[in-house]
Amino acid sequence: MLELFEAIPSLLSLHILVPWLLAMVFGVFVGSTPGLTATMAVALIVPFSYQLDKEAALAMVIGVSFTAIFAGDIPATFLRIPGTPASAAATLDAHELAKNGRGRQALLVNLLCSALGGVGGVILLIYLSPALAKVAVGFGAFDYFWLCLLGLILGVSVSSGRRPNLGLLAAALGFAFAMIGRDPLTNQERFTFGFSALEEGVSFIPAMIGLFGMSEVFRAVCKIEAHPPDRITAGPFRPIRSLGLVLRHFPTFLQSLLTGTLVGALPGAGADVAAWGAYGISEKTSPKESDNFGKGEWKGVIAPTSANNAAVAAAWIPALVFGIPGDAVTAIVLGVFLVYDITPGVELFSSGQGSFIFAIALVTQLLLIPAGLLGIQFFSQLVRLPRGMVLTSVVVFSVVGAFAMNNSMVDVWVMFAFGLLGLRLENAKVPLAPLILGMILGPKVEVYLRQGLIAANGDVSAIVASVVSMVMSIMFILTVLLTLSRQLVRKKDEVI
Amino acid sequence: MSIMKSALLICLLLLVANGCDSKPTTPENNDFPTGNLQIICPWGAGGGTDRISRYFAEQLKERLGVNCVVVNRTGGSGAVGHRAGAEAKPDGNTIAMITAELSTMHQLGITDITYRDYTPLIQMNGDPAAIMVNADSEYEDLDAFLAAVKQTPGELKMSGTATGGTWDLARVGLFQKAGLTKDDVTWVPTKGSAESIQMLLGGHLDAVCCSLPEAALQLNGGQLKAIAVMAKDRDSAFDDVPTAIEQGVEWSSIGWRGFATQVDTPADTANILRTTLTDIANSEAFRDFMRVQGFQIDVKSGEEFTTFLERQDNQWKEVLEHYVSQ
Amino acid sequence: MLVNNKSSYIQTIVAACSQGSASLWLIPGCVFFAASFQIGTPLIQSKYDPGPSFISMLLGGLLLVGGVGILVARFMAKGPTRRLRSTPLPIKMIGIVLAYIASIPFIGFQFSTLVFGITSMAILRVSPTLSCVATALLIFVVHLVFVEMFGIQLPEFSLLEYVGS
Repeated sequence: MLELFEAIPSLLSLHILVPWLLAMVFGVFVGSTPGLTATMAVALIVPFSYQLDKEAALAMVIGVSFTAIFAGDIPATFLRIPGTPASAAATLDAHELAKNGRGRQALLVNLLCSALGGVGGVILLIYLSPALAKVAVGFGAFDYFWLCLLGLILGVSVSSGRRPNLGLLAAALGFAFAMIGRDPLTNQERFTFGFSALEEGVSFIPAMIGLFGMSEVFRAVCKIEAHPPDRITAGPFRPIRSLGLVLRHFPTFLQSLLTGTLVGALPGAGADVAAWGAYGISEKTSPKESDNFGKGEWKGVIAPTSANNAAVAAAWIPALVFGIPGDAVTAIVLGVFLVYDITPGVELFSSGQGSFIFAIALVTQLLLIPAGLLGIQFFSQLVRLPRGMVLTSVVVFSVVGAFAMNNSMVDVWVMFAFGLLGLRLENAKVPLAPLILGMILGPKVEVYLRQGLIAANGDVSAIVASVVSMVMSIMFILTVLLTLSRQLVRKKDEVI
Repeated sequence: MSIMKSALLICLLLLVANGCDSKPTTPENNDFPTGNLQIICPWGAGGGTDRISRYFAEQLKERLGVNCVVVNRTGGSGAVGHRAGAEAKPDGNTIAMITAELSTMHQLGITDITYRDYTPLIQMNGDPAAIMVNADSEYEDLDAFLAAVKQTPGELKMSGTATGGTWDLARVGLFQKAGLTKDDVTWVPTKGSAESIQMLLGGHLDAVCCSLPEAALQLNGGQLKAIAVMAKDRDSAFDDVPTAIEQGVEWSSIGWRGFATQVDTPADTANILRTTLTDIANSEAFRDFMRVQGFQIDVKSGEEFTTFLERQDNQWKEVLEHYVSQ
Repeated sequence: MLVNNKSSYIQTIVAACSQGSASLWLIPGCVFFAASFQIGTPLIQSKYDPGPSFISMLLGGLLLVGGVGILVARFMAKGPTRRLRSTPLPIKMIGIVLAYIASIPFIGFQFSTLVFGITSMAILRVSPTLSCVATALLIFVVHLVFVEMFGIQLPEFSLLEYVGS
């Protein structure tokens, strides 16, 4: 730890700080453009970073990799277009707050939680890595199966409010959509109906842009046609009050930090499971506010945003201890480490190189605040433009963004189709978040289940053989019962 | 009225701007490349294939003076990206990264794309398959491992990639030569070597079959040990790992990577690409890059590469007949 | 009591289906469930693998059960079925977005965006001059970020090529 603090001052020279901060601002802007992902930002910055010396290059690459998730939250809050799957969890409450003119404050709270969550994640990374990494590789296929299923049901439960049956069905529908294309285990074609365009499947980024962004445009157009055009107000930052909010909900923050770190350390899970899990847990542990979740509850902003940034840090645990990257961004950063002769392994944690990297990761969290503020400011200026202009730009960016994912028009049509689907579902009062959650987590659930069955030579009882599986399966069943009971209790005053 | 005027003005401006930077691509004028290049990589960002693609993209950008980007088209164990590469517009602007799966996918009924659907340009890399176990495993060499497999058919678990992927077929070929069948171990399908290594470290598997560089970190870190490499000669970076042939099993299997362009690409355009790519692959900088990444360089270009592809198709035919019949 | 009048029975079902939420699940449920049976068994499937069609059948079934459940629930809830207030569809906007996407491969991204941008902003009551400037700016920004920076090859005006070939 001492070495860590000794490493920090050496980073604070201009020739490192300037490219570092610029790279992070770049990351925020790229990540907040629909269709451009953090992976693309990191991949683009890597060849550029080789022009600089080692310290600056590492700082740039690590910096960009940490801006990813927060950047995705900006359009999620203002325009309801989540930039990353992990941002979809933050969309629900933050966008509600933005609609009430508190968008900027919601993002400030988000930014503070992201930075704090990141700091917490990095500190846990430094101290708990070897132990956590051991736990993480111990996770078997069925453990992942239950974890993903639990993440799915928690997400469904919290985002479907008083209509859990509709939430469940939406999740099943999303899951089914995700099955279009090649079966990941045997490469068998499913639901392609002979179209080679469907072979690649329905990519979830275009689907997400369509479902949330495009459908929101269609809905907004209806409103504009009914009333004269209005402008969104981004609202003030209210820094003191925002900080107060974070402090008041500190238990929620801590709880989400731990959830994020534990889930993020598992190479098969990731920030999306962490965000939804933390969101679900915070709803289940706050009975007083549980009715307010999804309608602009501050805890609904704090929980997922602190968890997902902690998860980004924790994703480094298996990467640094065993050299196993959990996602594409971590894999690229690991490739950069190789170039600079930084070898993952337990020894890294006690070496000078290790404390150097951790120092970068810590300072990055602090630099996220100015870079993020810049992004928020820029976006809040944009949404103040005439509504018609904003909506038209959203359509254009949705189209280009969907195209850019795979350079293919098929994805643009997928985006459009999901836009119509989103409109239809919302008119029928069906929550959208479970659908996208089903698309993201569904395939994982399927792969881990089948992988587990193959590894157990078809022994079905192995599904709850480990302690982790047992505990999580019980939690899963309890959550399902709790969720469905909500339906029965409300039946009297509810017309489906 | 003003709306029409402004629109017209912008239209004109765009037309002029458009006319300036795009020249028609006809075979006669040899000023290729005319636009931005893209490399279609059939595997995900961050992996070995992606890293090599990105290296070449950077180099092409420098040498040809146009932008070159890598597009990852993943899915279907490479089937999606291979198809996208083969069916792109044949103007030379799209280069397809092709990998070992090309020789097996069509024989497994996954796709109908074969090497004949491309103009092969160069092969730049070839890494042999290897069998790896945990460092504290009881299996010290290939014999001990194969004997254990024989004694307990279907009990041991292996992985390295999806069912029917390159590394799965490599071990099936090995088993076949050693008188075993594919079901003598349970192959647990995974997304790739990283996930398999993680499962091996966690004790969920008994052995992993993948290339040595994919496990370099864990091999050098002393967490894993390799018991056999399926090549004719030992790997220079891991020269303490004996080959399967040394241990009495006549079998070698290579996971290779290369570049190709579409069948209908004009010959002189393909030649420009081939020359440029070969120059890059023979450069000192590329050698350094590959050494750092741990990959072996194996350059074959033109005819030689096509012959190699043909031989690969035949080698796997035998193994796959055995595989599918069971 | 349950079925006192056959035609009203049918009417209720029709009304329920047309009202929305049930058909929303029944139709994809039917499609996915039926199509699950068309998924072949792969050559290389492990003998312990429940197969690529296993989960999709479950999901199709779940969607069907859910849809039927909604129908039944609505049936049990006596009294007049409350019609969901029909929301107006933004037909105009959907139409121009459709035309916009369809035209991109033919007239290229820049031209179709130009036309779409001006039309869309006109519908949304932005002043003509402003909408022209904004569209041009939008095309410029997209070109800068996506084409120049990320090297993404957006479809370009390709009519000449069609004429040429």
